[in-house]
Parts: sequence; structure tokens; C-alpha cells
Amino acid sequence: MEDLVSHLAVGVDAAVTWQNLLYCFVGVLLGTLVGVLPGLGPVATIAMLLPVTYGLPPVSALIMLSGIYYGAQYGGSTAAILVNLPGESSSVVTCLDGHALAKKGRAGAALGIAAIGSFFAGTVSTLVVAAAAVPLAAFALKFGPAEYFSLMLLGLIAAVVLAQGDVLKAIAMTLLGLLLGLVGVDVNSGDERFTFGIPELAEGISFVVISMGIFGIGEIIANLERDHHRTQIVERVGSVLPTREDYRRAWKPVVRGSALGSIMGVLPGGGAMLSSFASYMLEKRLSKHPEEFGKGAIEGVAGPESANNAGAQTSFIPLLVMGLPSNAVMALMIGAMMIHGIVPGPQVMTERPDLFWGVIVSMWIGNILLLLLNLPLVGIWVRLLSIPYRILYPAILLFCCIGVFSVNNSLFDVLLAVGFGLLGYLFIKLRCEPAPLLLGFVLGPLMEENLRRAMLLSRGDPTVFFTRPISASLLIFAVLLLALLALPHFRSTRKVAFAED
Amino acid sequence: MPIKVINTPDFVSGLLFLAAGISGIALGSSYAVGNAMRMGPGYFPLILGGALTLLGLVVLVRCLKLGVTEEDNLLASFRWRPALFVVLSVVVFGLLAQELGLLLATVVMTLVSGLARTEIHFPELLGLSVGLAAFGVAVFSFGLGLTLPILPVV
Amino acid sequence: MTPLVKSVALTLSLGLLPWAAQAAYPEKPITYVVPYAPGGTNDNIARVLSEFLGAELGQPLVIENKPGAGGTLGASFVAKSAPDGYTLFNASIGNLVIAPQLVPVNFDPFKDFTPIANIAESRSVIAINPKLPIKTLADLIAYAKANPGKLSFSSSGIGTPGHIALEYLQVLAGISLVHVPYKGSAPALSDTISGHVDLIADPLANGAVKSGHLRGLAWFGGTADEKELPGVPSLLDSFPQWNFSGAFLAVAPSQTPPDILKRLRQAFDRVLAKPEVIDKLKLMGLTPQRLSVEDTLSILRATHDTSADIIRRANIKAQ
Repeated sequence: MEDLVSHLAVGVDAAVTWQNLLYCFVGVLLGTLVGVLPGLGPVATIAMLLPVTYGLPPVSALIMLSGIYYGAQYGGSTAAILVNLPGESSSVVTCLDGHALAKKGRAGAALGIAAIGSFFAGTVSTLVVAAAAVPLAAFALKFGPAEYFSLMLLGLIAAVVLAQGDVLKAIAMTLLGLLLGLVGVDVNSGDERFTFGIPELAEGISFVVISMGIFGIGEIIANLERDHHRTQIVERVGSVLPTREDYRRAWKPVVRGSALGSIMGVLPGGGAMLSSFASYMLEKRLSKHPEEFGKGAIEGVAGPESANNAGAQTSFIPLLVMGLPSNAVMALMIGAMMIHGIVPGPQVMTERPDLFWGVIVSMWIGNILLLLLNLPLVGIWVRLLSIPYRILYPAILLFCCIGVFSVNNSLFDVLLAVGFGLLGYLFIKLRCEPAPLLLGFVLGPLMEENLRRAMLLSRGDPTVFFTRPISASLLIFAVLLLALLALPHFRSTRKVAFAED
Repeated sequence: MPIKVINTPDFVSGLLFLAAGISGIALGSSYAVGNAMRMGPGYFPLILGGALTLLGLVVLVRCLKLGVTEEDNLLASFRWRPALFVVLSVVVFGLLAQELGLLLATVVMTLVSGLARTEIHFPELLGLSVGLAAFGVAVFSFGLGLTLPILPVV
Repeated sequence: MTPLVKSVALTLSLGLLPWAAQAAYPEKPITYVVPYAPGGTNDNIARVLSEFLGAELGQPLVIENKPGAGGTLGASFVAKSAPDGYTLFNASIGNLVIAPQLVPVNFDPFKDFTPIANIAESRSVIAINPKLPIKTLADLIAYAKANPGKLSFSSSGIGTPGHIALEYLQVLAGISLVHVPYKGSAPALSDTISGHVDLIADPLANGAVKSGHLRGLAWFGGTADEKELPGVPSLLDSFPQWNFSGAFLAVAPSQTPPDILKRLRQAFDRVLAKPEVIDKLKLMGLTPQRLSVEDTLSILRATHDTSADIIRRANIKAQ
């Protein structure tokens, strides 16, 4: 405890200088901006800004770069709530209830709760990083291929829970997403799959391409069709701030989401993303009004947004403790450290305590700045919704185009996004929800990779999934959830079937 | 009655899943399957394709069993105009952006996308296209350092 | 379409762009292609160099990340670019000479490219999880011979230098290990540290050996001193015939005019001689090496032939 206080004091010394506060602010501001602009992710931004950071002292550079990262997580929820465009996989969940709330004229409540929930989660997870970075890093190492596979399986069940309508179609959409995720070079054999010899497909389809296609282009086509009786996204803008009732309903999901995110964020390769799905699943199960989910339940925004933000913070743990990047942004941060002459690794904590604790303290400062920045912005964002749709949709199309271009600068990606746009339009017509497809798409390659790796390491013995304690508990949990999920559904379909006889 | 069933969202989604599943199996079977220890690149696609085919069939059978529930007329619900012009605008942007630069590509894209609506108000559309182009260049090129050229590349 | 686009573009840009004078090369920014996503060693090297090269050449070097197909997508892009000195390639051994032997590519590393400069050799360390009762390379070979197929090794992917190196070791030592490929060095290293996989050969493992998370058995490529990898011997001590390592080099399309090549080679050579550049490269676990064009080419050839031999003998396939 005393250690923690003295460590944090070192961090405060490093982070609370005028210069570093400024870089922290610039970072979170830029992050919010790229987060709000759909399709333009933190990876592209940090890559573009890396040269700018060469001239800065390493602490300032890292503070700014991490600010961009968690600022983007914050901003991502804004685009999801306002225009139903998820720029990143974790925002897919926020779209569901966030945009539904916006359509009901309650965008202000959704944005406000997302900001406050994220701030709470950011505070909790900063403390978690400061107090428990080392044991959590050790926990993350317990996750081998078998554990990851079981975790992904659990995630897939969450994908089905995301859907509000037909469970059969949701499962089918998840499977379709899994298949799409396999496009590209297979990690285990090096063979190309489903690429039809097109070199642009060798690295797989980018998430931004699918998301901008289905959620951006496809939605716009469908919306324009209904143009006659709809001029703007919402008829009335409604109150800007969350109500007392919103807070009452949201605080528990925020706490649970923060806990889930803090723990799962440590797991490299999608831990933070899975935590937001897990939180949604949890809240839908615990809620007294599960039928409201997908139609504008504030809990469905509060939980996942908190989990996502907490996960974004704790995903720094493997980087800070062991020098292992847990996602593409972290890999860029390693590059930034290297260029500044710091070799990432466990020695950073002892050799450069100012850097290690400075970055941690700056995360909390950054979260305060984000709250101060975002709460006033809510009013402006909400007013954006009253812009007529005929003016809004070309702007959204432009964001989609630039987002897709920013991935690889490739015309092929743009054409592919158009293809997914038409597919997305078809899905809307067919009443197939796209969220499970996107989750399957993200989890598919991870799931297959870890399944094959686990089987390779166990020399073909499938019991490995049941004999390893963490994996076994995850599987038991998955089966229980599946049972809970299936029971009420079968009952209700039977009712529907009888009613129609 | 059977034709009415075919023209429902559920039936067509069933067909879509079936088709995706079968193509998954067809393409997947051209890759090595391997064994449980060394799963080949075809192992997982075959499982997925098989499951998807099965689900597609279940959805189809359910359709036939339940029959037409509402006044569904899938085919008649499609509108070609928004789809055509939205798609065209994005394609045009993609084709022009690298040569003509962000500024002009945005103007052209906005104008084409405006045709997606039936009531077109040209002065407003023109104003919007110029405004968006200026906004796009300010935010993406100057603000974020996007690598797309702003002006035409000679 | 294109002539129309061009003429419209020309009309519009008249007056917007100043007419370029007949200036000496380079008169506009140079695109430096990195064939991977930002953040890896290749990308870091390019970013360090571009900073200094921009000053040296008087025009900025703009880094363009063109990831895909094990780095061969970026290589093909540069091979197909105009040989005017405005599109250069930050190559690694893996994407230039190894991957073309495993995946179908439409370039020939020796016919379509000409070296500008050899940048650095990368030092990899063969490292093992310390929970295993294996302290030296000799222990490893003895253990693997006694328990064939029991030990596993991770790599950053099929056909990467780390993969080829451990296949090479298997051939030389007559042992058999199970290969577990990952997507990139970081997850491979992570699973080796946690003991899910036993071995790894990767430049990123240097840090883990230094911090005690892994036990270093031998290093290869570049140089290492006591301070960097205490107590770890060179692989050449056990296998003097070892002839493989990862390396990074800058190349240009082969038809680039000689005067432009001369200018580029001069600029790269000056930058690579700067102490601050050398320091930064060393920090990444690299051994900077300034070589003549002939020497660079002969090393490339040798690495190509060695890896071809390993790929054939170990029967590595990727379609």
C-alpha cells in the first residue's frame, strides 16, 4: 500500500507538468476526434503521428499516444450512438441500444451515461493497473491456446445473445461471420483460403471494410428508401442529460462492466472487445426487463461502454509489465518507445519509474479531461441529430470512404465495402441482424487459430479443454449460458407455432 | 401459396445461408483437412460450412411449415434508385480519390449520392458538396495527415 | 476514363501547382514502402532512417505501410513501380528472398530489385522456457533426441526467419520439434514465456532472455556482447557451418537510373554511419552493417540458397 502511494507520487510528479498535461489533452482530443469519425481508428492516427512524437521527451510522447488510444475508445461510442456506425468491434455492442435510444430522442442520455460510465471505469482500471499490474500479467500468462478457445466459444454465445429477433438466424449469421473471418492466409499452414487468388485478400478482410459496408453503406441505402416519411434521424431531440431513473438503472451495470473490463482487458488479442460483449450478455441476463434490450435499454450502453474503457486501460498491462503488445496500438507504442531509446520490458518499471508510473497517472488525468471534454460536447452531438438526413448521409458516406481508404489506401477495399454495403442492404430486407455476423467475423480466426494450436500442443487430445481448470470453467459457463438462452426461446417459439396453427 | 412463401425474407435468408454453407463446404473441401492433431486449413471451414448448410435447411423447412405469416412481398420492397446511386457515389470516390485528390472526389461523390433521393434540390446539393469537401480536407488532410492527395496529381 | 481524368486534373491544377523546374533528383517526396503494418521492426527501422534521410536528401521520405502476404504485397508493389527513385522498399530477408519461395509472387528478388544499402543484421536468440531442465544447446539436442516430437517451438509465422532458423537447427542437429506458428512475434513470445510452447528463435526474445523470463541457449546473426546476452554462446560455437540470419536492406526497382542510385546509396551510407542511427538500430537488437553492393548481393544469394535448401529438406509447404 505504501509502495503504491510512493509509486503514484512518482507518477504524479512526471505526469502533472504543464507540458505533459498539454500533451495528454492533445492526445485525448485527437483520440476523441478519430473515435467520433467512423472508420478512422487509433492505429492509423498513431501511425501518422509517430514522427511528430520524435521530438518530444519519451514520457510526453507516450502520454500523448496513450491518450489517443483511450480517447478513441471514448469517441467511438459517439459515432455508434448517433449514426449507428461502429468503427471498432467493441462499438458494435454500443450501436444496439445506444442508437435505439437516440432514435427515441434519448441520445443525450446514452452519450451522458457512456461518458460517465467510461470515466468511472477509467478510474477503477487505472487503480487496477497501478495496484495489480504484475499479478494480472501473470494471470494473463495462464491463458494458453485452450483457454482462449473456450473464451472465444463463450464470446460466440454472447454473439447470439446480441440478437433480439430470431435466434436461428442469429446463429446462422454468426457462422457466416466466422466463415468470412477465415478469408486470407491461414496462419497454421500458410495456405490461402477463400481468396480466389486476389492478393488484396491475402491478409483477410479488414473489419473497417465490413463495418463501413454493412453499417454505413447498407444502412444508408435502406434509410433512403424510407425517405418519404422520415427527414431526420429523430423526430425530437429530447433532453440532453440522463435522468435520475437512468442513473438508478445504470450504476450497477457500470460497476460490473468496469470489473469485467479490468480483468478481461489484460488478455491479449481481443480481451477488451470480448469484455464489452460479455457485459452486454450479463446485463441482459440480469435485467428485469430483458425485452427492452436492443430497443433502447440504458443498461445496454452503460455496461459495455464501461467494460470497453476499463479493458482499454488494462490492455496496457502486458506492455508495461513484459513489453508484450496486446494489440496493434500497443505494437505502435513499442515502436515509439524503441525510437526514443527505451527497450520495452519488465526493466522499464525499475529503470524508468517516471515513465511507467507517469503513463499510469496520466491515464487517470486523461479520463478526467475526457469527461470534461465530452459532457459539454453531448449537447452539440445531440443537435447534430436534428440535421436533415439528406445532408447527413453524404457526410456519413464520406467518412466511410475515407475510413476504408485509410486502412490500406486501396481501391479494392472500397469496392469490397460497396459489396458489403449491398449485402448489408439485403440483410436489412431479410431481417437478419448484422451484429452477430461482425462478432463471428472478429472471433472466427482467433477461435480457429487457438483450436488448432491447442490440438497441436496436446498432440491431438481434445480432453485438454476439460482438464485445464480455467478452460473447463469457461466451458461449463458457456454450457450453462446456452441452456439459459435456449430454454425461454424454445418455449416462446413453440407458443408462436401453436398460435399460428 | 408456394410462390408467396419463396418471396418472404425468411425463405430467402434460408436460401442465402444454404448457399453460403454449400460454398463453404465446396471451397473448404479443396483444402487439406488433416487430422485432429494437425488440423489442415480445410478442417474448420468444413465444420462451419456443414453447420451453416444445416441451419439454412432448418430455416427453409420452418418457413414451409409456418407458411406466410404476414403480408410479405420481398421482391416488391426493393427500390433500385437509392442502391444504385449510393453504390455509384462510393465507387466514383474510390476511382477518383487517388488521381483527382480528396477535394474533387468529395464534390463528385456528394453530387452522385444526391441523386439517390427522388426530390433533388441542386443548389443545396452543390453547396453541400463544396462544404463537405472543405470540411473533409480540413479535418482529414490538415488535421490528421491523411495520405490521400488533396489536389489532382499531374 | 484515365485520359479524361488526367486532362481534367491538368486543367484544374494549372495555376494551383507551380511548374516543376528541371531540378536535380529528388524534387518531390520519396515514398518508402514498409511491407508490414506499423509497429514492427521493419517499420521502426524505416521511421528512424526516414527522419535522417529526409534531411540528407532535401526531400521527405514518406513511409507507406503496404502489409499483406508475408510482406510480398509491398515488394510486388515496389517492383511494379516506376524506377524513378521515388518509390523505394524497406526489405527484410523474409519478404525479399524467403517468402517468394513459399507463396506465389510476381517478382524476382534478384531481377526486379537492386540494393541501395544493407541496413543491419538482426540478432535472434534461441530461447527456451526456464521451467524445462534444459540449460544449454547440447542439453536441448540430447533432450530432443531422447524425446522426439515432444518439444514444440513457436514462430511469428510460416516461412519467417524464426521458423526457418529452427527448421535449420533440426536439420543440422538431427532432432524433431513441433512447429506452432503464430501471427507475429509478440503472441509467439508470450506463449513461450508462459510455457504453453517450449522454444522460440526470434529477435524479440532478446529482451525476455535479459529479463530472465526465458533462458537463452544460443544466438545467431549480428553480434552480441556479455552485457546484452550474459552467458549465452554464439550458435557458431556449436554449428560453425550455420549460414542464416535475418537482415534488413533498402532496395529500389532494378531499372532505376545509375545517377539516382548513386545519390541514394550515398545518402543511405551517410545516414547509416551516424552514431545516433547506429545507437537506435542497436537498441532494436540489430547489428548495423554497411556493406558494398556486391557483398549485399552475395549475402542475399547465400541466404536465398540456404533457405531454399532448408525449405526443401524440412519439406515446408505453403501451397
